[in-house]
Order: sequence, then C-alpha cells, then structure tokens
Amino acid sequence: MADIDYGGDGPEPLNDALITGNNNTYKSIENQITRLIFNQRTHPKSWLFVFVVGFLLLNLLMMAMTWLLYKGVGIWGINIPCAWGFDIINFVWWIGIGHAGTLISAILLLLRQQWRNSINRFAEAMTLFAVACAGIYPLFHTGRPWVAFYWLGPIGPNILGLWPQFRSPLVWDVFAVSTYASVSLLFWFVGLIPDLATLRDKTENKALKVLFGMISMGWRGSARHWERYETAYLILAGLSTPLVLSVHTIVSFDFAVGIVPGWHTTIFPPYFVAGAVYAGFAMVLTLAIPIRAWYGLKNQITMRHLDWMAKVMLTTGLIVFYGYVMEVFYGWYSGNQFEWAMILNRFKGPYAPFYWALVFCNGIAPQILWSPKLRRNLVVLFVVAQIVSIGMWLERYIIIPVSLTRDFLPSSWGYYTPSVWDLGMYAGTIGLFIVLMFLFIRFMPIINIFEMKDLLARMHHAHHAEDDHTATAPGSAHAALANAEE
Amino acid sequence: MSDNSPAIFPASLRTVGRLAPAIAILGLLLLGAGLGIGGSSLDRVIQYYYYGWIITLGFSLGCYGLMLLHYVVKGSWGYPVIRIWESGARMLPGLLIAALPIFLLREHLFPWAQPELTSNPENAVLIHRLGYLNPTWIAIRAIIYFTFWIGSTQFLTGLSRKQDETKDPTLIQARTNFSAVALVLFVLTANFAYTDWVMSLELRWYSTIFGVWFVISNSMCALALASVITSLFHNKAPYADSVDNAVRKDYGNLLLMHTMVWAYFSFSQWVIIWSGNLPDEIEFYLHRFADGWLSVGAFLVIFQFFGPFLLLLSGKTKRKPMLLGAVATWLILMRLTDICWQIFPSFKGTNPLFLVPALGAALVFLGIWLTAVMRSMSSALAIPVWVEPIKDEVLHHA
Repeated sequence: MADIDYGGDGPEPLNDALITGNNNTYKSIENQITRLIFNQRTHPKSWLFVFVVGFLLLNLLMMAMTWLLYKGVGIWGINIPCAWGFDIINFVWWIGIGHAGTLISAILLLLRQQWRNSINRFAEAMTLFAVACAGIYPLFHTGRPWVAFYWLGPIGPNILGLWPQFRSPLVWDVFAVSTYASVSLLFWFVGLIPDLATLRDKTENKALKVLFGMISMGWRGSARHWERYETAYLILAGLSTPLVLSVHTIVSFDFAVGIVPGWHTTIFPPYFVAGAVYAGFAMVLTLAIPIRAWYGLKNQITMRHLDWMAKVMLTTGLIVFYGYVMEVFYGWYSGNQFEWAMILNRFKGPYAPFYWALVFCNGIAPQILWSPKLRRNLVVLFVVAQIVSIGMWLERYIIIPVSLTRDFLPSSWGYYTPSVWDLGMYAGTIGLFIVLMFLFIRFMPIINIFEMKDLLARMHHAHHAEDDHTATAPGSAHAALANAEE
Repeated sequence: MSDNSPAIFPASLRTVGRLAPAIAILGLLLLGAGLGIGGSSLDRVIQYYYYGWIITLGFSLGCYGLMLLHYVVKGSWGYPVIRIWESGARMLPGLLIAALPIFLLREHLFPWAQPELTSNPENAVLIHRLGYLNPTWIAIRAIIYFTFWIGSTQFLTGLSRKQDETKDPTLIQARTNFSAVALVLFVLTANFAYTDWVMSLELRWYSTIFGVWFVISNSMCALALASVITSLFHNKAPYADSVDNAVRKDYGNLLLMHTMVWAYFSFSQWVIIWSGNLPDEIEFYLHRFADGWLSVGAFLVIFQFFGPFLLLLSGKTKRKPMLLGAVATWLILMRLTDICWQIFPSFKGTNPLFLVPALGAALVFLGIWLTAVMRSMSSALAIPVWVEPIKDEVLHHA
C-alpha cells in the first residue's frame, strides 16, 4: 500500500483544499489511480474477504431466483392483504441508493461544485449497480419475467388481451427506471472515455492496450474531442438531473396516488427524493471511508469531501424527518379516522418497534452530525451512515406492510412476515452489489483521473494568480468560468 | 466620495424608494376601480386586505428564508443583494401589526371563526380541528412564529451591520451557525403558520406539501425582486460592480430552479389529490375549477411555468439584464395571480374578475412595504463591507 503524504506530520488535515498533500503532479495523480488496475498486488486482503462474502451472497441470489421461477411468488411472504412486501421495499431502497450517484455526477456538475471530481466515478458506478439490484425485484415479482415486457411495455394488448394501465404509476415506473438506467450508463461510460484512453496509453500489456483502445473509442485528446466531450457530458448531465428527480417522484406516486392510509399524502414526492439522496450518500460514505483507507487515496478523497457529504446527509435527513412530522400532524389534522388510526398503529401497533427504530435511525441519530468534531470522526461517520441505511430500509417497511396489513376493514387485517426466500433474495442483491462494486474497484479507475488533473491545474493557476495579485476581485474565477462557458 | 462608494445610499436605490409609493397609488386606483366589480361589502374589503397582507408577508418571509440560506451556504450570488433581503425581513414587525384587523375580523374569512359552521354537526372535520384552530391558539401561535422570525432577523441583521463597523471575520461563522438552526425552524414554523392562515380557509381540505409550497413561492418572490432591482440598475452603483454576468446567470438559474420546484410541488399535489378523489381533499380543486377559476389555473400552468421555464433555459435571457428583469417582473405578477387563485376561490361568490381589485390591494401593500424596505436599506451600506474577504471557492481552495 502506498505511503500517504498528508503534507505534514500531524493528524489528517481539514482545510479547503480538494487535493491535499505536497508535491502533487499530474503524473503522481495518474499513478495513484492507475496503479489499482496495473498493479493487482495493490489490493489488500480485505478486498478478497469482502468479495468472497459478496460472491457467496450472489450465489444465494441465484438460488432464490431459480426457486422463485420454479415455484412461483408463493414462496415469498406476500399474501392478501399484503400483496407487496420485501420485493417493493427492496426495490425502493435500492433505487434510492442509486440517486446519490446521479446527484454527485450530474447535479453537482451543473452547480459547478468541484468537490464532486474525486467521488463522482464510483458514485456513478454505485448508481448503476444499485439500479441493477432494484430492477430484479419488480421483474421477478411478475412471476414470469420473460413475458413482463409484454405486460408493461407499450407494445399493444398483452397476452390477456388487455392494454397496460397507463394511468398507473407502476407503468410510469417502467419508463422512468429504464430511461434512468440507460442515461446513467451512458453518462458513466462517456465520463470514462478519456480515462480509458489514459489506461490504453499507460499499459504495457498488449492485450490490455487493445481492450482499452477499443473501449476508449479512438480518443486522442484533441481539442475537437474535448469540445465534443464537454458538450456531450453537459447534455447528459442536463438529461440526468430531471430524470433523477422524476424516478423517485414516480416511485412515490406508486403509493401516493392510492388511497391507502399512510400512502396518500402530498409530501411524498419531495420527501422520497430527499430520502433517496439521504440513503445514497450513506452508501457513498459506506464505500468511500474504507476505500480511501485501503488504497491510500486520502489525498484525493479528503476530509473536506467527507465533511461535505456528512452535511448533505444531515440536510436531506432533516427533510426526511420533516416528512415524518408532517405525516403525524396532518394525520391528526385531517380528521380522517383511518389516517389517525394508521398513525396510532405506527406508534403502538404490532410494528411499533420498527417505527420507533426508524425515528431513531433517520431522525435522531444523524443529529450528531451537527457537531463538526463528531462529523469529522470517521468511525462515528461510518456508524451513522450504517444507521441511516438501516433507517431508510425501515422507512419503506413502515410505509408498505404496516399500511397494507391494517387498512379500512378490521376483518381484512393481517400480518406480514417475510419468508426465508425474501431474506435470501435481499441478502443476495447485497451480494450482487458488492461483487459488481469490488470488480469495478479492481478493474476500472475509481477516481476520475482527468478531472483530478484539471482540478490540480485550476488550483495551481489560482495559486499563481494570488501570488501575482492578479485575482483580487471576489468571484473573479467564478466569473471567468461562467464567461468561458458562454 | 464617488457615487460608486458603498458608504452612501446609492441613487439607484433612492429611485426604487421614490417609485414604491407610485406602485401603492397605482394599486389604490386599481382597487378603487375593482371594488365596483366585486362589491364593497365588509366581507370583500377584508378579503382584499387579507390577500394583500398574505402577499406582502410572502415577500418578507421569502427575504428572510433567502437571507438564512445565504448565510448558511455563502454563495457568491447572495452578497450583492443580501441587504435587500435583510431589509425585507426587517419588515416583519410591521406585518405583525398589520395582521391585527385580520384577526379581529376573522369571521369574514375563516370557517373556524364562523359560529354557524362550527356549530353544525355536519362539519365533523371542522369541529375536530377546533381544539387547534381557535382564536386563542391561533393568536398564541402567531405570536410565537413572529417572535422567532423577528428575533432571529434582528440578531442576524444586527451582526451583519456590526460587521460593517468592526470587520470582525468571526461574525461570519457566528451567522452561519445560527442560520443553519434557524433555517430548520423557519421551514417548520412557516409550514404551521400557513396551515393556520391559508390552509384553514377551506372547510375540510389539507395537504402535507402546502407549507413547503408556500416557502418556495415566497422565496421566488424575494429572488425575483432582487433580480428586478439588480437588472434595472445593472449599470449603476452599487450593482454595476457587484453583479457581473456570472452572478446574473446565477439569478436566472435560481429563478429557473424555483419555477421548476413550484411546478413540481403544484403538479404533485394536484395529481395525488385528483387520483385519490376523496371528498375531504378534492373540495380544494373543485372550488378552483368552478366559476371561471379553471381558466386562471390553466393560465398559470402556461404563463407561470412553461413561459418562464422556456425563457430561463436560454443563456440569452440570463445574460441580458433587461430581459432577465422582465422575466422576473412577470414572475412576480404570476405569483400575485397564483396566490389569488389559492385564496379567493375559498370565498363564496368569487370569480376571476376579482383579480383586478385583489391585484390593486396587493400593489398597495407592496408599495408601502417597498418604501419601508428602502428606508431600512438607507440606514446601512447597500453592499456590506464584509463581502471583500470572502473569496471564490477555487481561489479559496488553492
């Protein structure tokens, strides 16, 4: 593992530099990132350990899916009145996790936030893998995924002679999620092209040279290539931004357009989007904290990055908590006995421990991030990220089975318990995610090389400008950037 | 001392101060002409007064919210106009006093203050809410909200003006820390305030998104106001030096973002309530789709969303000060129309013609408010001196 130079002997610094350490050069940045691909011995034993755990869980997923296809969805814990269970809970959880990737890569790009540069690549990869995990659930919930396309797609009457119900948000979901997945994949790949060309140029292995040569699409780094790249990247960012908002909005519509108590509430769209970003940042931190330690990337993913991510998590967490408070208040204010019964059921019903655990995980525990000292303690931050991930899963559990099992008629009430196959499939998708993520860490540049070099160039330029007293007006660099864009 | 010096109240802002009473007079004329349309009963007069108050409160709370947000994130877009927002927020005590007639004549506005409704057992939802929606509690809560808003504004603007004198950089962090907490409490208090003061106009209706819908609506008003002033005087002090193309582009983008969020919240609320079609909720839209109000709603969809959205997507709109100023002015007009659409259909016997006197009432209030805002601005530097040490992120990070 490489020696880490923080630029001093003391503890890891918290300054505003987006690349820390002394004597950074373009070459040193390039080498630090590419060595993870070219020198496979760089990977610690912990990589192998986590990968093996992920691979075993992936096999569990294969078993669970095979058994499901053989026996049908009856092997799951779902039954009337709770026809949706782990399948939709986990679908929403995974889709939410993916959102942070797009937020970091697209929205922060449009907002000219340069701190995205070192985390956007693996956050985007995280998005793709999370969407892949999410997609499995609705597809397999159909029981016969090989004909699901006929049922859900806009290709005419399905095999039952019925048209898809275009007023159902479940059908909108198909379009939203598949468009989101396609654009995210394209965005990720386009962003990779210059780095793939760097790998092509740096490798001495002929096979790898051919491979990277093919997938870098003939990139030569000419001015024309860069100009077209920048245009394409901005257009894709512009497309991704409304998509990321629309996907979780439509996911929230899956519930909110119905009249089930606990689902039918107008705050759901923004509250779901905030929750998605919240869960997504928790996952980015879950990955970033160990990866930067294992691979000596503390100069690229700095304390400042972690601090900002913690702040984003705190902010989105507050929005989510605001949603919980509104649900309780308007549950009472509505004067609707079913709405209020739903709130009381959450407070005191059979699932009450889950509800209070949710309030603790998403509402109370993250409040310690107000303290700068605790926010910058990586153990605390990592633990809070895990608590938030659990909390966001619990949130979906509270929304779905708790409402479905106790709706309007007490005679139709029930109780939902997931089966062993539900649990297996959930653990299995975590395995799939780990396997894909850890293969990505091993074989792709996990930090955007050329954007980090660009950032270094800007830092040097600004530094010289300060020394020469040529950049005295506040906002001059900002203005220069904006004017250059025009 | 040149006109560009921040130490004197700039001529451009003096012009705004002189124009503001003219806006009030124009409003008075419109109101006078419009009273003939809707009648001049006490009911109507207090309804126009209430509407004007809600609009003006929106501008002040929008200024307050943006001030807090700017203190937290310290974006370069906020510095040139922070004093406009600070002064807008400092008008809240006046608005508290102006609320008194509304409170005293509440039975002309709110179902919960009308005994014939509260004593009718058919209105079970209203009766259920009376423990919360009653004059005593409404007054206590209003005092709590205003005390918090006014107190925090005085504290923050006091720090801001103090820093002009002391140039103490530690005050920047003090403001940030305070504003982060205040921002959270602001959204909560605004939500409950608008539940008391606007949502309760309907007998049974409720919507969990309504509070934040108003937060965004108010914020758009304050942002549009800042954009209009900086665009009008783009070549005059103090904005000629402080608002360059990049900052103007930020205003354009922020207006675009607000337009989209407004549409997003409005659409979400509509599609969820329309799909559910439950009696308690749908009354809100039934009132707004009847008596000609549907045409106003459709007008808003096109001219509050699609028109500004398409214009603000273009870089040209954000580059040309007069174009941006025109779009921002239009957005203010659309906010006035939209809030009218939110409020007036809840009153019996109204139709879109009521827009004329309502707009008049709003202009009277806004004219007086803007005059007072400019008076408040004249007591401090138009651009705070503490802008200077705060540098752009790229420079700061070097």
